[in-house]
Amino acid sequence: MSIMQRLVGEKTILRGALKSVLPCVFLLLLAACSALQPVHLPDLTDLDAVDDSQAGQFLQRCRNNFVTGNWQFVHSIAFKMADGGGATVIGVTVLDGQKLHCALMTVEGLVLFEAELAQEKLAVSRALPPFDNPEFARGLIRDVQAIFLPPAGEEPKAAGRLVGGELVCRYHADNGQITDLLVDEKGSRINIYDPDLNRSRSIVAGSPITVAAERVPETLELTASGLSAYTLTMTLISADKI
Amino acid sequence: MRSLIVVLFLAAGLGFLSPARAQDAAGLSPVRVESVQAEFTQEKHLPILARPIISKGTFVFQAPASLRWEYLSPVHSVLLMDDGRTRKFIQRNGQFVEEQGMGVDSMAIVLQEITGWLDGHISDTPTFKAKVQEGGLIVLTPKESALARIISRIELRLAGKSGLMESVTLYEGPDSLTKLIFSHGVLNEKIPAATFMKP
Repeated sequence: MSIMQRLVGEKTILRGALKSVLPCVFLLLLAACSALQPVHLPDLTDLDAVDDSQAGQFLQRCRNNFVTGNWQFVHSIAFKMADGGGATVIGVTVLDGQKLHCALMTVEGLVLFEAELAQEKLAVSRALPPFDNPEFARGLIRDVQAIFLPPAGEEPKAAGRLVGGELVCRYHADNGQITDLLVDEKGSRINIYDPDLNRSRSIVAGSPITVAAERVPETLELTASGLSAYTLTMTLISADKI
Repeated sequence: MRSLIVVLFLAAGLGFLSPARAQDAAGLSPVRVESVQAEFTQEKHLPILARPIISKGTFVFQAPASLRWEYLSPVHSVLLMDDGRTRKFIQRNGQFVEEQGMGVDSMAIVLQEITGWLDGHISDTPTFKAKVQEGGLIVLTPKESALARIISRIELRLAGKSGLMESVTLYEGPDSLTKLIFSHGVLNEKIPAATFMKP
């Protein structure tokens, strides 16, 4: 076989390979773009007359999605970055009246991060690398608040239905942030939208159990959207009313 | 992070590996450690915790440099050190997944610390200053201030003359501590090599 024939042959093989690979590359790019595509706040349809009679009951269900009083939660937390990196830590959250304490430690028990939020003032008492970044502390507390505390404003401003027919409680914060809460017997879903009405966080709580007559999820998954996307998968180790 | 991991596993390792030399330092007859196996219960105390977090696991060491440090609950994880390589696995959905980062690479340093200690005396630990007290208590304090900010001291309590350790308490702050209590310790029994190779 001459060099020319070999080159033509290789070119044909290459073209064939490109033909089969290009659609895959295109699909991957499309998938990557759609992952970065922001999710906008969905419209709510008003509750009809029949729903109105149930609205009070539904709003109460939304309130019951958050524990009341003083609690101590311990979770295993698998942290996964968009680039595939991540780690598993143990998280401690203590809700104590107006204060919120949280700590992260290695599976072996070494405390990596400890902070307290009281009257919107954050005090970090321990932060070891790589958790010593102030931005990390603020982000962590924001996530903990979103998971365990009722959204800012406490009372939902509206209840309505999504296009799919799901009932939703909608909370409006003073800073323009909007939180949608969907609750059913299997758990709950929280979607948080920034002032631009793009979804910044979603929290899926599943496998609820009853502890001290309150509903506590055994599993939680928080997904943060955007360029620095990450996922926290939390599994309940213990929940105690204190 | 490197120093964190060093402290953590040095403390853990000392729990089992140091008794022979600890007894030496305390003036008792030394025991040559070829292998150690034991179970442990770990109590994590923090000021914010109403009750401690309890973890349970097992520990296996084979001289000169093989280690398996396994937590069975609340999070099933395995740290393996073998042939100069350190790996950490976490069980997720019934399967072990190898975790990178969080100082895993630095754990090789720990092994050096542990094996180095096995060949010397407790007072020779490059990282800690040791003080033997009455009642089989050994108190280790960090030599470097950077380390002292992370861990203030470690207390090792010997289990009589058995050559094993009763407990190790690692103090991170005045009210923040990790206590490891050991049980069912076995010295110098043959351990299959596979113990240190896979989770």
